[in-house]
Amino acid sequence: MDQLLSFIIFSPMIGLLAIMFMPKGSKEAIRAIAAAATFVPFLLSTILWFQFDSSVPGMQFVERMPWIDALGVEYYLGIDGLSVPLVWLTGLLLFLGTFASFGIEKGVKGYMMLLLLLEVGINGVFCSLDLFLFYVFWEVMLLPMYFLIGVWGGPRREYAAIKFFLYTLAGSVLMLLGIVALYLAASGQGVATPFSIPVLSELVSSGQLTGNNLVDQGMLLGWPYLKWIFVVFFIGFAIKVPVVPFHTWLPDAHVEAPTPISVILAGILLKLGTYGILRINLGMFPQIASEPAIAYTGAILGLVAIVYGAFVAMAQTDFKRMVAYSSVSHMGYVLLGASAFTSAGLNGAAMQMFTHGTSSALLFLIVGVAYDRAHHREIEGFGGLASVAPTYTGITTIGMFAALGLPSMSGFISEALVIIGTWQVYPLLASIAVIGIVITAAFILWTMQRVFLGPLNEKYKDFKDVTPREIFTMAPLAFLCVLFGVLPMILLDKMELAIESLRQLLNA
Amino acid sequence: MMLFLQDAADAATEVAADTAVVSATAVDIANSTFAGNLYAYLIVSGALFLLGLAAILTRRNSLYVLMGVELILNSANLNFVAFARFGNYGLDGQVMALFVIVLAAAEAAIALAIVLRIFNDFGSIDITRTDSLRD
Amino acid sequence: MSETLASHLTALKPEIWLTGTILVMLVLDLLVGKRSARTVGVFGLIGIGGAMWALMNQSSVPVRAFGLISIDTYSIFFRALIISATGIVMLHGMVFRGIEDETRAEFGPMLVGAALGACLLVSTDNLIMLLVGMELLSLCSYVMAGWQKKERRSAEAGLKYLVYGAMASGLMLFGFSLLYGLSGSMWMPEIALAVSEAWSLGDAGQHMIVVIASTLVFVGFGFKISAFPFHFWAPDVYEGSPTPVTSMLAVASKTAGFGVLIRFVDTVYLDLTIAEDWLGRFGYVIAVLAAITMTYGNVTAVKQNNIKRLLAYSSIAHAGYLLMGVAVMTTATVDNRAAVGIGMESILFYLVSYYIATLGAFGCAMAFANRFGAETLEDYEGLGWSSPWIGACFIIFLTSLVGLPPAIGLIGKWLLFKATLSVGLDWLAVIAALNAAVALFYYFKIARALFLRGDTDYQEGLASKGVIPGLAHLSLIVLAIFTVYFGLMWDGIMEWVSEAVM
Repeated sequence: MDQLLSFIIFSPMIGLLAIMFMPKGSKEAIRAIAAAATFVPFLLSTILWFQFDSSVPGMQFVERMPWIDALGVEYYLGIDGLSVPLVWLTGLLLFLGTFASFGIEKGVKGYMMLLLLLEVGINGVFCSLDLFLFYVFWEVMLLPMYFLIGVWGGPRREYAAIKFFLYTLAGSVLMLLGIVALYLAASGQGVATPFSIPVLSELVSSGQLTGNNLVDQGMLLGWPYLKWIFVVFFIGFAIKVPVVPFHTWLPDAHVEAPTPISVILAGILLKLGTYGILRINLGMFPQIASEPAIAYTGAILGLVAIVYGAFVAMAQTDFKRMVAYSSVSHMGYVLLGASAFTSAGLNGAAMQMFTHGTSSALLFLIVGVAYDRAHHREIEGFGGLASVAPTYTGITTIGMFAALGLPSMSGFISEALVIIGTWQVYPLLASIAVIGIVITAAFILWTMQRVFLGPLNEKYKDFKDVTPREIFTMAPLAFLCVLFGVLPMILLDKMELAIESLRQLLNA
Repeated sequence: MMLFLQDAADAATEVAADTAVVSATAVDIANSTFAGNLYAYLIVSGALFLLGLAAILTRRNSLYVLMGVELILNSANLNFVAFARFGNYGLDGQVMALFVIVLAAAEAAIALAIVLRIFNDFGSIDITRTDSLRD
Repeated sequence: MSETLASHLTALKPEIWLTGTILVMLVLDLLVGKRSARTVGVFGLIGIGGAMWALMNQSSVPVRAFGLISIDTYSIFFRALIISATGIVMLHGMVFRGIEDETRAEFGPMLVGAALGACLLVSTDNLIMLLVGMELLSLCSYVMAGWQKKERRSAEAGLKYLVYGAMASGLMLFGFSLLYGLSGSMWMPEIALAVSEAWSLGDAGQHMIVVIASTLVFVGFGFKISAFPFHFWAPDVYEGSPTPVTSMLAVASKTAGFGVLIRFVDTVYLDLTIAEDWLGRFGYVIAVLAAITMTYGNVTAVKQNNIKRLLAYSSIAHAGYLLMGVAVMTTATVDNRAAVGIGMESILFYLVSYYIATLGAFGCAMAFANRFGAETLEDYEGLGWSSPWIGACFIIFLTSLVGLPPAIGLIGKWLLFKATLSVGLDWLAVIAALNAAVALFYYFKIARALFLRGDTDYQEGLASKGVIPGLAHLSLIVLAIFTVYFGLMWDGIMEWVSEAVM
């Protein structure tokens, strides 16, 4: 299985082509093919998880061949401890998302095709080690997502879709700008593969690539050339995360998107932003990232996201919007932990990416269940559901507790690691971040109380408990929330070497 | 209406005939003992060019515009022939002039066919009044 | 002697094929009668296929046929684009409902005639041949633009195109006569010598003649490529003409215009622009024109409601992008001579990407017009659900026109931007980038109308069954596949382009 990564990335394409030639009416068959087509990469990424040797540093499963000779672009894939959990999570969430999409009746064929195309893009980004390839996969996700929100979304879907599209596109244009700038500098020095991430990382961190050949002394408008590239990349990724000043697309997109798309958006797409920050901003420009001012700015941005996201989430009356803002808050931990450059902080950041992927996906599925039955999402409009839907309540409890970071839940481990890691460097910021945890706990418990406890809202005395299909989509995520809370080492072991080498780079 | 169309057709024939007359004259003069200097021809052709340009820019009747175009073509023809004669440039200039005459005739044929249709459709051949295509 | 004749005729094989096709189609039209327009069309397709085959087998050793036509890799590149585009337009013309069946058979020879003119235009370095080629292309285009008898807008398009076109060619011809006066030759390399001499040794009067002549010549070329300020005909003509003609004008005619413009600039002006500071000013004029053209096209496209008109303005904008490449060529200096080649390569590559996506986009517009009579954005609402294949193809073409990956349009823009930056025209690259953002906005209005608006129910429409309509749809799908495939694997195109530039 030398080409395991290629198989993981492109296997959904086979399903896509098969669906393309299916008659429009045979919805059941299309759903079955889509489920099979997302199961294959899930299975392969599970194999990948077990085959990945966490005792070997560096990239594994590397595939490398020339692609476009004229520019030195390569088809260059590889994964390390940072990407393995994310690839696996992608496989899982897309598989579960396909099942969660079985309720969709409108344009099933187009929906499933776009979903499969989306999976190609996501896995491609996580596995690319060539910036050009990275960019192509990054953009492959854009159009499917636009249509998935814009066609299958809620009442204001058109607005949400175009907002998502423009924000994301602005981010990717900035990213392209950064890639071009790096390419010009590297190719000007005669580097044969001016897009290769490992090659560029090596050149940049050893100080051989400074942009001296393009601008005088490597300075552009008073800043080092590379620092501009760093900033451009950072903003591009920050839009995707989203970091607070760029976050306004997220609530709209989440509220309007159909449930499975929210699941994928929160569960994986947001991680692409933080993955990019870890892989490219920290991994390629360690000297710039570890400048005190830059690192501190990153930490502050993370902190603002945590506190602001939590406060705004508390103020929401719409269940889904609340979950969306809690995502903003949780993604803040990733940025905060990554800016501390301590082992605990980086581990916490990387783990938070995974745990938030499971817990937020679960929460969106939970919201979807309530919305399917009640056709509204007002938190105040429910009440006492625990008495009519006990299984549903049970699963929700796990999801919510994982999100608020209750000990023995996965969120606890990652958030605790982030706080500890930050404390070693910025005690003040860490103590403020704790406020975020308290607020999160407050609004989550409050929501639990309003929706599930108290007297039963008479309107919902016929509220059906979750169906087997819904249990099938939610139970694995709930299980993971508990599993990584109890045995975090399963995950941390996989990431250890990648995180350690990143830490050494940053503290060099 | 028929009368008008007849006029239009006549005008075009005249223009085509003009082309032939002008080039013939140019060659004649050049061969005669009175062949003046090149500038005389250039001045005439420049004047023709400007007249044609003026017709294009000021007239809104499409036939007048087309006649303006013919004037420009003829001014170019005059140039070609005059340059060929006075510069001893060989036959290229004259050949070009012949081609241009043929092209002008072809263009006039197509132009009249289209103008006829426009008149049937719009009741006018004013190019500013054909306004089914607008922003 | 006869050997030379034979080799000259061999070099002109594709043109001979095209001429033969015209004759065969005309005779067939008489023989089989008006009822069998399709038979005539099929023969036309076969003839175009033959021309394409002859072209592909042409050796890359340059030949100057009859001293008028230079057959080189450059001309092979352009003729390949033109002839293949004509084939696709021919196919689309056979199914386009706007053309009445009685006149459909006569439409073919016109189309091939235009293609023949375009082929001669891009292959010649002689002004006489250039004029003949350009007029053959133009005259056939005037007739085709006004083809739809029952459609007022078509007649108006024909008239506008004819009047403005005749004007432009008249001005260009006057410019030619001045150049002839300066050089005593119709051959571009000799004109180049004379122009350089007049510029470096001549007095103010000669300078003025060069400037006037050049300006007038560029009016003619600028008209063909619809560059600002000679673009005003394009929206009206594109909207009013039958859609296959529109795509012929937007693709083949514009390609030919660029083909001759680049050859003219390359042969006549480059030595001058490289050696003299005049070059810099000339390049800046073109750069400014490029910036205005693309901005005007994009900004005006935003408020359009008719799809063809929207695509027309977008095609003006693309002419602006292509002019960026010409600006790069003419801004190159002695120290940076390589920029000429880079600029040329980027134009040629962009032409390929523009060719695929624009042919496809107009083809999709035609398919929707055929089936649903849809012309405006409102008509398009929800149609993507009834024609998912064509709708998806349309999206792919639009993606390429915007310049988003993984379509070939991105690579085209990338190469143009790179070329522009390499000669220090940074401001132009910035304007072009801003323009791409504007373009995104209006292209996505189409995508939004197709899939996001309206109801998703199936609408019946006028379905076309049969081999030829099937082929027409297939051609769109193939173009869409090319758009993506060449967006990912563009090494081959790049090689072809560099070969053409050599």
